Amino acid sequence: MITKFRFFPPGRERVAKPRNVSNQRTFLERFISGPWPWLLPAILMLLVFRLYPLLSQLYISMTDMRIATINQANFIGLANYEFLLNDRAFISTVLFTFVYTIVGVAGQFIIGFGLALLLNQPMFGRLVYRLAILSAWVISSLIVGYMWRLMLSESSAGVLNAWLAVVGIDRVSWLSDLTTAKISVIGVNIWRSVAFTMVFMLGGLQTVPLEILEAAKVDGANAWQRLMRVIVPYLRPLIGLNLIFVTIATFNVYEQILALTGGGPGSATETVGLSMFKVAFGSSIGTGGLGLLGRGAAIGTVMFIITFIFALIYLRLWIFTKEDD
Amino acid sequence: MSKYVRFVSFMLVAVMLSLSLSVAPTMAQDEESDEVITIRYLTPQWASSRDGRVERQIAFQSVIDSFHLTNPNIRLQEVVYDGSQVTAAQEILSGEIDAIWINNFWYPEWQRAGYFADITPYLPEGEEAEFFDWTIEELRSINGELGALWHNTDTPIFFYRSDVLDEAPQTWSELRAAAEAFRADNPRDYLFTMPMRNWFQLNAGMYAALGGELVDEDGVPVLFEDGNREIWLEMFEFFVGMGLDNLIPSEAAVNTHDSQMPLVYTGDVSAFYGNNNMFIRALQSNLPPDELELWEAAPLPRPDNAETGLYVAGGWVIALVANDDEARQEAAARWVHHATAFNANRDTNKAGGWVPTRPAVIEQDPFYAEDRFMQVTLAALNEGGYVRPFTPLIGVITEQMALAMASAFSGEASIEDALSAAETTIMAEYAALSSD
Amino acid sequence: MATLANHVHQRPSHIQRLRKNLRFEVITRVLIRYSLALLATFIFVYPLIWLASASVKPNWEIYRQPLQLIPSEVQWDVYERLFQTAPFARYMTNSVIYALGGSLISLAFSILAAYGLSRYRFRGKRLTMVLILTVQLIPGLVSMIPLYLMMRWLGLFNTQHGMVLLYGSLRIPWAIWVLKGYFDTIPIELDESAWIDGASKFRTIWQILMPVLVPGLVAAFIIIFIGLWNEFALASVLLRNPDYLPVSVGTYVLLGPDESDFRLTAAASLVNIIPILLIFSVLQRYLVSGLAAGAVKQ
Repeated sequence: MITKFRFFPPGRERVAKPRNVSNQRTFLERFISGPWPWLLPAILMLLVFRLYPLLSQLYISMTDMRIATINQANFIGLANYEFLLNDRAFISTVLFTFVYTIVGVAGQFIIGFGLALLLNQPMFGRLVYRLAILSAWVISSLIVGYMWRLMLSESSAGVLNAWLAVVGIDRVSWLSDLTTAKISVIGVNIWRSVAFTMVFMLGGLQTVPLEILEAAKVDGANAWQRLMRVIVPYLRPLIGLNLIFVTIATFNVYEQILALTGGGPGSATETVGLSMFKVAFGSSIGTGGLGLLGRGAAIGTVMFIITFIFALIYLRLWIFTKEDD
Repeated sequence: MSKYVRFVSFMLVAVMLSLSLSVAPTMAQDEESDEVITIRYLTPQWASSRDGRVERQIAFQSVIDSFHLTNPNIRLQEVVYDGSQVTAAQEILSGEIDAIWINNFWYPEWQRAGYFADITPYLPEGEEAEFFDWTIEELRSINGELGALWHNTDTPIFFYRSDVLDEAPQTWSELRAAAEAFRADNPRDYLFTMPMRNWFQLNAGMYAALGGELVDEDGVPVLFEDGNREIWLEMFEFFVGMGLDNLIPSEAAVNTHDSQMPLVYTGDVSAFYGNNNMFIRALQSNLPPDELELWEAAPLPRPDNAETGLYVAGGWVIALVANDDEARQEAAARWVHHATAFNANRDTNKAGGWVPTRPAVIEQDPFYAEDRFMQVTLAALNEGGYVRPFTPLIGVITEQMALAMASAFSGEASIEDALSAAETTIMAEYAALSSD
Repeated sequence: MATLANHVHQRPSHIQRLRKNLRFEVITRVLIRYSLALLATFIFVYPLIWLASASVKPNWEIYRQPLQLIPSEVQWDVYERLFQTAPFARYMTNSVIYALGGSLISLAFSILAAYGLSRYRFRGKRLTMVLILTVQLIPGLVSMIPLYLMMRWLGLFNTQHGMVLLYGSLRIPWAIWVLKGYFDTIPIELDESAWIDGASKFRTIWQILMPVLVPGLVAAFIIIFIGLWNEFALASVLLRNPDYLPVSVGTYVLLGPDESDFRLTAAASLVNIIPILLIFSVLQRYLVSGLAAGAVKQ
C-alpha cells in the first residue's frame, strides 16, 4: 500500500479487528477508523481555549509589556531572557526551587504512596483517616499559608513552639532563620499536597490484579518484596505520571510561600513561581512593583523548559513503553 | 455492576444539572430609555456596596442612592473588581467603564498614557481648595491635568502601650534607648517590632527628611549617588544594628503590616510601627477588651539629625476615564465629584477606617475629632505629609529597598552587598524602562 | 512474614511455636498499622481542629492560649456573617456548578482521547502525547491577559457557562494522561473478548472498560474537582458580577486586603472544605471497590 500524501498515518489496531480490513479504504475511512476521531474533541477544546493564550504568552515574553502600559508593548526579542540569565538573584532562586522541588516531591511521593498502601488495607475507620488527609489538600493554598503562618509564628501565639515548650525545647525561629525557613516552606507544601499522591495511587492500586499478588504470596514473597517486585513494576507508568504532576505542581507553588515568608528572609525561600508572580504583579497591592508582564512571561517560559526537562526524564525512565511508539 | 450504574447515573444527573444551571438566563436586561445615561463605575469589592461588612455596604450604598437622587437622569452601575492592577488596566482599555477607583501608585503612568480625562471643567469654582493641597498638586504633576480626585489616605504611625512607655520616643536614639532599657528588665520580650517587608513604605519619609532623593527632575534614579548612599548606610546601620543587638524580634525580617500582628496580640511586644488604621481594623477586634484603652500612638520616631520627620501618605483615587461621549463623560465627572464630596468622603472613610482627603471633614466631624489615632495621623500628615515621587520606578524601588533591608536584617547579606544588589536591580530596570 | 516463610520448611515440632509467633506478628502488624494511621490522621487533622476552635473562640484567645482547643466561650458570629451579610451560600453554589461542570466536561473528552491513545498504535503518537502534556506544563499566570481578551471576544467574559467551558478545558491534558495510564493497566484481552462478541467500540468502553476504570475515573474526578474548586486566578479576572463568584474568590473578597479577623479566615476555609469532604465520602467507596479484580477474572 503506497500512499503519497498521508496527512494522517492510517490507524493500525494493536490487535487485528474482527472484520476484514481492505486495502482500498479511502482517506476518510482510514481517518475514521484511526485514533483521531477519539482525540479530536479533546484537541479541539484545547485549541479553542488553551492554544491562543499560551502562544500569546510566548509572544508577550518577547515584549516589554507592563501592566501600566499594557497596550503599548514593543517587541524586544530575547532581551527578557538575557536579563534573567544575567540576574544572579534569579539564578539562586532557580537553585532553591530545585531543592524545594526535589525534596518536596520525594517527601510527597514516599509519604503519599505509603499512606495509599496503608489505607488500602481493610481497617476500622478507614474513611475517617482518608478524609483527614484529604482535607489538608482541599483548603486553598493561600489559606494554608495563613494558617501555618500563625502556627509557625515565633510569637507566643505559635502553636508549634508552644508544643515544643511543653516538651522543654526552646523557641525555634521557624520562619526567620535562613535554614529553618526553607525547611518550613518545604514541610508545609508536603503537608498540603500529600493527599494528591494518596488519592491518585489509591485509584491505581485497585488496578493491580489480586491473583498476581496472591501468586506472589504463595511463592513466599513478603510484604516488602510484593511491593517492590509486583506492585511498583505494575504501577510503573502511573507512578511516573504521578511524579510528573507532583513535580509540576510543586515547581509552580507560590501562594503558600507568599503567605508564609513572602520569599524571605531576604530571598532565601523565593521560588521561581513566586518570582514570576512578583515580577508580573508585584508582591502585594500596596507596593505595586513594576508589573513587568513581559519578563513574568519569560520566567514562565523558563519554568516551562525546566518542567519539560523533568517530564522528559520521567517519560524516558518510567512511562513510555515500546508499545507507545 | 450496580455500583457502576449508580456512579454513571450520578455523573449524568450532575452534568444535566450543571449545564442547565449555567446556561440559564443569567442577566436581567437593563431597560434603557433615551433620557437616562448609564455610567459604569469600577471599584474593588472591598470599597463597594457589595463588601461583606455591613458598615461598608451601608456607606457605599448611601453614596450611590444620594447620587441617583440628585441626578435623576443618570444611572450608576457599580461594577466590582478584584482590586488588582491588571484587571483595572484591562477594564479601562475595554472602553466600557467611565470611572474607576485605583491606587494612587497606578495613576501617573495611566495619566501620562492618556487614559483619563481632565475633571477640572466639571468642578464647581473653588472645589479644589477643599482637598488637601498635596493631593491636587500630585495629581496635576504629570501633565497639568486633573485626571482623578483623591478619595482617602493613610500613613504609618508608632503605636505603643501607655503602661509600658510613658512617652513615645521622638528620635531614633530615644527609641533605641527605650528598647535597651526594656530588654534589660524583660530579657524574653521585646519593646517593639516593625514589618521589614514594608520597610520602605514606613521609612521613605525619613530618607527624604534626611535630604535623600530618589529620582532627579528627569526621572533618573539618583538614590545611590554619594550623598544619598551615605543616608541609606546610616538608616540601614541603625535598623540592622537594632536587630544584631536583639532589640527587634528576628521574625520582623519576614513580617508585613498584617503578619506581624500576632506579636502584638499576644503581648510579646508593647509597641509597633503600623498603618494608622491598625487600631480600628486590628487591635480593636483582637485584644482583650481591658487592654484596648492602654494603646496610644505617636508619629514615627525620626532620625536624630533630621529636624522634622516626614510621613509617607498613600491612598486610593477615583479617576475619570477618558471617553468620546460627552454626555457620559460629564455624568461620570459628576459621579467622581460626588463620590469624593463632603458627605461621601466622611461616611465612606469612616466605614473603611481611612483618612479623609478633605480637611473640613476632619475638623467638623466629631468622629474624627474624638479619635486619638486619627488626631495623631492628622498631626503627622499636616506637619510632614510626604508622597513618594510619581515615577514609574517607585514600585521597584519600594520592593528592592525593602528586600535589601530584610536580607541585611536577617543576615542573608551584608549591608553593603544588600545595597549594591538593590542598586544593580534598580538601575537595570531603569535602563530597560528608558530604552523604549 | 519473612519468618513464616522460613519456618515452613522446618520440622513439625516447631509448629506450636510458629503459631504463637504468627499471632504475635499479626497483632504487632495491626498495632503498627493503626498507630501509623492514627499518627497521620493526627498530623493532618490537628491543624484543622485548631482552625475550627479558632473560628469560635474570642479573638484574643487564639493568640493568648494557642494550645487550648476548647474555647472559654463559643461565638458563632463569624458564621452568621458568612451566610447572612455575605452571599456565601451563593458562592458555594457557583463553585459547585463550575467545578462539577468543568470536571465532567474534562472527563468526557478525556476518556475518548485516552482510549484512542491507549488502544491504537500510530505514527506520531508519542509526539501527540508530549504536545498534549506541553499545554499543561506552561504556567498560565501571564496568559491570563490574552485569555481575558479572548473570552471577551467569544462573549464568554463574565458568564457562568463561559467559566464552565474554560474550566472544562483546563485539566484536559492532565486527565488524558492519567486516564491513558489507567487504560494501559487494563489488558487488551478484555477488549478483544468484547469484540469477539460483536460489541462496538463505544459499547466496549461503556460496558466493559468503564467498570474496570471506575476507581481511576473517580480518583481523576476527585483530583480535577478539587483543583477547579480551588482555582482562583482565572475566576477573579474573568468574573465581574459578584453573584457569579466561586467560593475561592468569594473568600478572598470577603477577607479583603485589610481584614484581620482570623476567625473569619478560619470559618471561611472550614466551610469551604465541607462540600468536598461530602463528595469524597460518597465517591471514595469506588476507590476501593474490587471491580478491577472481578472484571479481569471473568
